[in-house]
Amino acid sequence: MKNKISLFTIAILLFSFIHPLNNLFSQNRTNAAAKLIFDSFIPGKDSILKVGVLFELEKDWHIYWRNPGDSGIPTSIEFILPNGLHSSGIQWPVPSIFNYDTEVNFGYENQVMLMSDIFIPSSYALGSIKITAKIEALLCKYICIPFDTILNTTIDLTSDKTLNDHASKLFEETEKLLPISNHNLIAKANYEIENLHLSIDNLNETQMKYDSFLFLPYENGLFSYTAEQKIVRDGNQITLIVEPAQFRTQKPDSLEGILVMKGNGSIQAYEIKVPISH
Amino acid sequence: MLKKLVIVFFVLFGYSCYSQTAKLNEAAPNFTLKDSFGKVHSLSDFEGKIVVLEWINYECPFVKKHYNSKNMQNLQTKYTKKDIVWLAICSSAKNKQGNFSNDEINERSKKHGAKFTAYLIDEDGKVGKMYGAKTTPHMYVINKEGKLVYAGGIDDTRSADIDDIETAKNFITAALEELLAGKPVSIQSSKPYGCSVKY
Repeated sequence: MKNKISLFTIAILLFSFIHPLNNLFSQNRTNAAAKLIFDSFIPGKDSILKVGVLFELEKDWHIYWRNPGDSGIPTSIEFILPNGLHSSGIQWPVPSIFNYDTEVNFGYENQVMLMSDIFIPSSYALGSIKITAKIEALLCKYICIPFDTILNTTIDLTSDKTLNDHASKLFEETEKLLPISNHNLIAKANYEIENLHLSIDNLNETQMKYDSFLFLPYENGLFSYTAEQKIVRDGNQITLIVEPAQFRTQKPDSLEGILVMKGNGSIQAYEIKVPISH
Repeated sequence: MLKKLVIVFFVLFGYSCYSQTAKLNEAAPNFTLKDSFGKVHSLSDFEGKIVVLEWINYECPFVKKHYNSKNMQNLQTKYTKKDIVWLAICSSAKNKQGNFSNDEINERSKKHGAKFTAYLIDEDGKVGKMYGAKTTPHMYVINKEGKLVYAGGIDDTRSADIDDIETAKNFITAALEELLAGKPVSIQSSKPYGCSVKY
């Protein structure tokens, strides 16, 4: 009996190695999963239903930020909602920076939640609603695989929704990673010959203590990401000197992105929108 | 002594050949590479002709998009018939995705019906780095005067979806049509999209 099992096991293993379907299985292997999570909601009181797409990625795989960097494509989530409801864009947490020899990418690894708001007008007749999220992402390690999926769920908006501790913590932690858009920082930008000089003034004592400052633009193709952003500190001001992208042909009139400050194990990001003087 | 000098000369000469950086509206840096049949090609062999450089990795989903749809082959066919030189360049290092034996390259190229002038092998990545190739595909156009006049994506729609090709603005078609009409290239750069080059 034991011999029969061994022979059967060997036969199965051999079949799985030589059968053409083996390739098909390995190509279709999923290295990521995505699911929809909803924040707490109180009918009649809340006009926004916060929804998160939670990505769980296998070790060493990543997906991309709104600006993917030198390669890749931005992760996209399109919500299909009942008439009368609409959603915000993705609220992007601060991305990780993947620095390779010849290129730099911005994105997320391990686990990330990309949040959006679904706006519910006061005139909307609450009931069960179907929510569909069409996700298009590129999943990369040393190779890339498209990760396209559609998530469907129905949620009853007539009763209170409360979250378990785990989901509640996910929303709290993701909120902390969102760039701060309401701040007192004063930004100025200008070109000096080819390099862009971005000055940030009015930094407080805590902010000046950060070890590193990096500006990540929303628009791709403006900067060289492999070139170091030089930092000049002066009082409560820092100036970042940024090299242009190798093949950029036009100098933009404005700049939008996030200023990422890192130090002592903490990270903080501020949204910056500034006209560029030529 | 003379032998040492000759060696130093060739080392420095070799270095200077590949230490240039490609820049728009400047002379496209020369290079010499073997193709998938073992034939040697230099960019300078094509002096006086319009040349397209296409960074390729047959396993990349974005390259698959343009080959499975025949979009890339249609461009290659159309423009090589108009005496334009089309060089596909693979900078995938040994044991990295997209690095194949010559036989496999030729088999895949035949299966796809590829119509490029040559498939060049840049296994050490020197030419790719000299041109700043970041993605597959990453496209470059060199005019008859030997100047680099376009660097960037094949089109303006950053996706791996074949259905997007029909509505995308193809920058290579636009650049080549302008050059063939004797006009300057109006869109000279765009952000390339795709997989990273597997240096």
